[in-house]
Amino acid sequence: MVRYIINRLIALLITLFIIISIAFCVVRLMPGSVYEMGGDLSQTVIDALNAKYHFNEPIIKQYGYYLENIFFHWDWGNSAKIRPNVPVFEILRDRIPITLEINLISLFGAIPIGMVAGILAAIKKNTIVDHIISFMVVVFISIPSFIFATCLQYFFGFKTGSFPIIYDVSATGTARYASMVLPILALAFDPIARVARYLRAELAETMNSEFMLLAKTKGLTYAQSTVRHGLRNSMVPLANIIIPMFANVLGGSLVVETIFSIPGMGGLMVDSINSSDHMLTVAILVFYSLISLITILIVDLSYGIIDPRVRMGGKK
Amino acid sequence: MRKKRLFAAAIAAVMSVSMLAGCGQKDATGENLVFEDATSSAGANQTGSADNETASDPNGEKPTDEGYGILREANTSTIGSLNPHTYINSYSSEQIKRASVALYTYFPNEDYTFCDLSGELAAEDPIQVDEEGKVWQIKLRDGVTWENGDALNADDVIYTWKMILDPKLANLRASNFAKDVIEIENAMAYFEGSCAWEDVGLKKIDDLTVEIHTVSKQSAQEIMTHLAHPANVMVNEEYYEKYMNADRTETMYGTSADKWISAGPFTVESWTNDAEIKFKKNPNYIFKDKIWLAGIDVKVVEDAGTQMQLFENGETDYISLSTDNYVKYQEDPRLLTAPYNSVSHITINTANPDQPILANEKFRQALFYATDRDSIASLTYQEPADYIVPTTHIIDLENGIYFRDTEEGKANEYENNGYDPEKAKQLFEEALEETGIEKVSLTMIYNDTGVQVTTSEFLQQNWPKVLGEDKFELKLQSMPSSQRGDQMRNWASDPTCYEISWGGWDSTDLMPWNAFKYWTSYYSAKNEPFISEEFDKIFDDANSGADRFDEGVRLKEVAEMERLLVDDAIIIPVTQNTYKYLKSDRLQLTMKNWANRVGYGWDYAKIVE
Repeated sequence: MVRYIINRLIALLITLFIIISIAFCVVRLMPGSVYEMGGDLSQTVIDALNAKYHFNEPIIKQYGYYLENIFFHWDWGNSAKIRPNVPVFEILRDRIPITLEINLISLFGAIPIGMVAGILAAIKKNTIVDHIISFMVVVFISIPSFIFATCLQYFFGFKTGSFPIIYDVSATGTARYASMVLPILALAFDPIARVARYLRAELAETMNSEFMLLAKTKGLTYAQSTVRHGLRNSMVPLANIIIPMFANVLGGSLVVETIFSIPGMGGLMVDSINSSDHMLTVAILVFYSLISLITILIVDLSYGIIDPRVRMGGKK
Repeated sequence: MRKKRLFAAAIAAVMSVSMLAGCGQKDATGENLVFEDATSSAGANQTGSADNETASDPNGEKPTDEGYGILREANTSTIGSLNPHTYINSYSSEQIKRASVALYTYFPNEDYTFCDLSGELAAEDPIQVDEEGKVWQIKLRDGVTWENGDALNADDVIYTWKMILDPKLANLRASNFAKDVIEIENAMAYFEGSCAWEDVGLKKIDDLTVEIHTVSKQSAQEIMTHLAHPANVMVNEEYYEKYMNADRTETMYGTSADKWISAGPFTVESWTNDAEIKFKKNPNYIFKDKIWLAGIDVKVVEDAGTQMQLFENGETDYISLSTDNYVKYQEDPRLLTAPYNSVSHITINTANPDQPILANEKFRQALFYATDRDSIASLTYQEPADYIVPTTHIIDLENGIYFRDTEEGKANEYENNGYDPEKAKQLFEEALEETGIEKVSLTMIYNDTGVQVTTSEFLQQNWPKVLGEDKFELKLQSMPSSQRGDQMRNWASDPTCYEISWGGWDSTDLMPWNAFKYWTSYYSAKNEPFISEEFDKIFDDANSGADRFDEGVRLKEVAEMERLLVDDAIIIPVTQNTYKYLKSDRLQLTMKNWANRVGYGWDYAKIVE
């Protein structure tokens, strides 16, 4: 297992290096110069800035400087437009916590609710309870989160005043969490529905399997057989969807964050591309790639932990 | 069965409540608004907003050091930096001005009807030292301090100037200082590293006097206008140096609240990047008696719908209206309008080899006359414009004369706002004959949001009707604004990069002659291929010519530059936009009308609870 993890880590680093290289080249080869922005800049200033940041040199040389700065100085460059002169990782550092906080609360709230709904729907299959849950699942999955966000904001923020209309960055304590309720709710509907739908299908199938019949014939009650055997077996495939959800958490939600004025990661990538803030764009791409690679690694490793057959399957 | 009925009834009840809750607009008290008939036109609104006196203002006759009330704003833009040497967008520059002191600035005049360009840190107007008008001394006020109480004197001014031109820092805004309205002797040479600081035409005479040497003869107003630019506000040496990197190529000055110090009307109380900035009245500010507010809270709210809800909920004090929202509120008595500082025009890539007809003057003129500006203006709630110099531009600041009100300005305007379908058709036929082209198919690139969508779609339908649907076709291609800008600026290296598109420069409204720089052959961000020695010469004469101060010379030069661009249809002016605001009742403006540079003077307003 240790060798397997080391192999995967080496592969991860090689993949990340390739991604950095591709991201840098693609972003730097995009049309439009960083400093030709239609303002009152003289050509002398544009030339000076291009020389300062080596933008006037061949792309391969720029790439050399970029790698040199990363490996020898751990310097990923500064933002040129979004927040001039600020190191790009400082910008990410400022933006990630609020995105993480809102999305993680939303996700951790959604998972148990989704599981309860899924279990209820499965054990009450084809009853009114199942129909209601299935209907809500369809609604939550088919309606995008920004529609929920807009409705929640309008009804519970604007019309009734139950919660703040936007996220309040300067609030503390309860007031701060109150301003997070609506975006958390807007983001929670989708994972609730996904977990509920998946678990319902898995559990319903498991409940009809032969080992469940065997468990009951051995004298287990309905509840015992469901919890000890049905639920446990249904949880294994559920891990496949829950772990990747964490990768999305860091990405934030562009529209929900915009609607509630949350200064998170949501719109940062789009903003940096639109404003030709190349170093920031590359940093964001690398960051997301790293998160995705780590998630894939965790998923792969977790298969082996959750279900030893996966780990052992490759052995001769 | 009974359960199902109960469930259906519950669902129906929830839906009914939701639908009822969604009906109608409400005000801050929760009551539905009943809009009264508009008692004034948009123009009258400009003069009617501050008529109420301030009897209820707890500050009394004069502002206190602490001020009273917080002005609450929401804006779609973010503040990238408060460093005046590196800021990117104009919104950042507005915030920089709030918390900075400049040598000269624009205040409301005494009766709050117009702007007054006068000394802020400077004690008086610049003093001409030599006969040629190339050496100017500026006396500084004594006793001006930073927010921490440290004195602000000539050393700070010289340090600020040295840093903005520093060759290693290569600041983005260096050219705004070195050469714009005035050109400072050797400033650009120092920036390029080709001369020493001692050779630059910026000198300290004593602790309260600095001197500027310019390349050409200047007027005092030009010196003041130049130094009033937001890029030229003072920076604090201690903080600027403290956050400088080891090799002195970058400083983090002004990137967060703790890396910033103010000497302006407000201090920065707190700042969460990309979310919120809170200003507090600076009790040490030189002109603290002009500021009634205790502070300003600025929130970044990108979504227009959310902004509207915040305003209607009483959480912001004014809001800039989109066209869609303007339609809903155009009869609202809280409405304020103001003319926009630029004219929206069609830019033509006359050098595009795939569309040789664009180089044909008659064809371009045909497009000019085929443009129904009145219809476009009524569709988009703007003003029709067959001119380039906006109505806001002043040709004579001293006497407050607007260019468009002069005979020369009026002579450049056309009948029926330049819409003449018959003439357009005739010119179009002649252009086809001259070029031997049978059918023209053009592609217009435009922004995927805002009024450009409406206007472009209108032209797509209207131009073929005027010019002949069998002979003219307009295709539309939408893209984000920044991408469109990049594509247009690429015309020199790739002449086929676009055919026609949109333009609209925000320009210096007190110096219309300077605004024409965008069409000179040497403008760095030029996005169309118009190159004319004649135009360049007139521009140079108007901006630095020896006789430009003679009466009427500049006026004629501005009119001539406009005529050269419009008569030959180098660009096709279409509309001049208007700012549209809704203002809350608790916000009482001291300005009696909109005015150049100070606008409605939000920072000088009062809060009346």
